[in-house]
Amino acid sequence: MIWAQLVLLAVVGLMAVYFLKTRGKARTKAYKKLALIAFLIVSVVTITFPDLLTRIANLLGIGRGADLLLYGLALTVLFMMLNTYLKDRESRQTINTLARRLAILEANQRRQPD
Amino acid sequence: MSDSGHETYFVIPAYNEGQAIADVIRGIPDSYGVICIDDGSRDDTAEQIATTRAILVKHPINMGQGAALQTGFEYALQIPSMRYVVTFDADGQHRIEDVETMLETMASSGVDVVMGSRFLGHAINMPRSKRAVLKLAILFSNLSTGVKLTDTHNGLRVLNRHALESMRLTMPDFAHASEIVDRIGRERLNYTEVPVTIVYSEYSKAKGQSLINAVNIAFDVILSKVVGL
Repeated sequence: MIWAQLVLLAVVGLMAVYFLKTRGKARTKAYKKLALIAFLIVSVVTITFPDLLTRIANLLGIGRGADLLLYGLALTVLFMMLNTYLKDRESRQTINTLARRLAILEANQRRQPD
Repeated sequence: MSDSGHETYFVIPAYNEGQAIADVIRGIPDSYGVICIDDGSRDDTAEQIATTRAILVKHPINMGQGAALQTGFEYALQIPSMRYVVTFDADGQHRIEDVETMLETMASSGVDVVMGSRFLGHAINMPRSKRAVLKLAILFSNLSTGVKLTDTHNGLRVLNRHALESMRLTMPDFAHASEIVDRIGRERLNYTEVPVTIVYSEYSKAKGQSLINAVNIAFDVILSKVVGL
């Protein structure tokens, strides 16, 4: 066990405690928690046995484990970008609906006081 | 409800149109109602509208032209006497004569939507680059929606109650023009086109959509078709 592994494992451990402890405002969905647990397990295994990642990479026809990690990371970033974009649109839609309601109520009130 | 008892209402979205908006509203005959949506302007648009007979609906924040139109539609739908809505631009590039022709067509043909077309009619002083981009947009729209039009991004339209209830616009900025066409196709609304004349004054050219914005619009439209949102 080298120092880098110890540090990485500590970070993963802290993340696990933090995410599983916070219930989330709108109660984080169950499948998200399951995905997180899966991610944590994979992290711990690949940090502890780095050669495993290289072997999987070779199976997939990719040279090194680090390359596999890079591809995975790139996909994750793209997925997160799309997710953020869609969430952004959704929240803007909510704000618009709210503002529209307000504008119409105010307009009605202006024309018919009290 | 705030009912001034008209059968036809002009819905005019206005964003920073303080210079022209009052004159545009005064140019509309009294036989039509006017609903003007100030889309969170930073200038005196709202004050200018308040000096006219128009019903002022004021967005607390800027939400885009599509959102402003939807607000106008929803306001109009709560007026019991309303049968038709005319969507009209705030910069004075549309003509009342064309609206009257479109309303006559609406009444005689019984369709749900009458669209104005500057390519069947006249586009005066239209920049050539604008024409090219519009033609491309029309081609794309006709292929993707199945609604055959000669002008998809014209601000002048007449809609009846049924069409208004079907709209529910969610697109930001000018992509709403594509969205309206998309709804016409999806909700199987009956539609027809009427030739109109659009005058590109220096003011309307300065206020109009910049061509680079076509990229934004294309992105929004294509993404919504791919993701289905």
